[in-house]
Amino acid sequence: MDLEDLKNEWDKRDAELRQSLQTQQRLSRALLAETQLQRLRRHDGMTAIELIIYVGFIIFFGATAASSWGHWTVFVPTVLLDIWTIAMGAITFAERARLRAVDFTAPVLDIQKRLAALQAERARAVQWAFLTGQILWWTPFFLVLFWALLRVDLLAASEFMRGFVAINVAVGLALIPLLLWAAHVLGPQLAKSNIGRSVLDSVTGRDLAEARAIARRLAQFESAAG
Amino acid sequence: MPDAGEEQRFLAFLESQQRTLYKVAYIYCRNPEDRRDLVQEIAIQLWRSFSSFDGRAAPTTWTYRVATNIAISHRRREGRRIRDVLPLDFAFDVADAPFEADTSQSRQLRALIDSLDDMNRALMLFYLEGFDHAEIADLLGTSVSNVSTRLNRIKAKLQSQLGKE
Repeated sequence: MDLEDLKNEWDKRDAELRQSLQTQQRLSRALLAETQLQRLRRHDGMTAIELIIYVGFIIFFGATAASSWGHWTVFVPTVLLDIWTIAMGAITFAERARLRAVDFTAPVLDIQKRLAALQAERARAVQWAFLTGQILWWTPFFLVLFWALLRVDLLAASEFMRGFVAINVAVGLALIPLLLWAAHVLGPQLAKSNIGRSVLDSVTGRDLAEARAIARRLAQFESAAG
Repeated sequence: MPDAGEEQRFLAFLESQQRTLYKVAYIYCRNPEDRRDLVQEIAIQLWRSFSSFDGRAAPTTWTYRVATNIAISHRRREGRRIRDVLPLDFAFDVADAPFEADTSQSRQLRALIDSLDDMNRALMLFYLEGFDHAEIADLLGTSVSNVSTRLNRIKAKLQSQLGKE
């Protein structure tokens, strides 16, 4: 048996497939056409829920910034959070736009290289969104939330709160390099549990390593004639 | 936004390419459920790309390019199911039957496909579909000599598999 025999086998199966589908199409042609189109249209942009959440946060921070003008200990973190939110959204939308702009009709190697590059970009964005967002974000958000709900400026309220916020921001900043280091050193042990794996994926950007490996394999494919 | 005429043209196009979609899914997915997922994903991407189809390439060649690119990306995201299932007018059960036939040659073909990496699966698919070396090189974006070398290696792999039996 050689490849030509397998090709003949493939052709035989293909002929059977053609015949089966023709028979089936005669029975159910155009039955679901309109429903198909409605579902397809839904894949042409961002979801309404994502947009509502994104715009909602921007409006929330904008309104809180306006109401806290003059209370600089609230105003400054609110504006920083607003900038962070806008930037993260912009990065996400830009990534999606780049993915949508990918020409899937290009040669396979070219397109796979482009997709590997996009995957690497996304992994970097997720990594830094996690490090800045999860570790640092909650402290200023705590301040802003108290102001928005109760009109209480926690930093002005007591010495204790000033210390609390300062320590948490400092610990958050210190945790970023520490987490990166720990993820590399303790990675193999942490990766054995599901929770550990998902945290590691976010911190170290495992997708990034995977994307690089894919790019390497593609390069090998391209130069493998020798 | 595409107009109604374009939508109808796309549906007709999709119907004409059903076999191509199924065969790409067969090459990249052993499991019938995964094949359904992959066909869904390919259909969505074909829809997004349809406005750029200018007819310079043959419809089937164009579809192979898009479908293969999606199939390779899809395999990398193994386990992530498509949440919004399209009610594609596609008889998967009917399509599975010929390719799931249990003969020694079809088992051999499956075993060979399963032993190949993503790019070589694409190459094997184009070979099985009767594209010549120059066309395969164009579809993959590589050289004709690379295609020939790779096909020879696949042939050697097949012989090695047969030798082990």
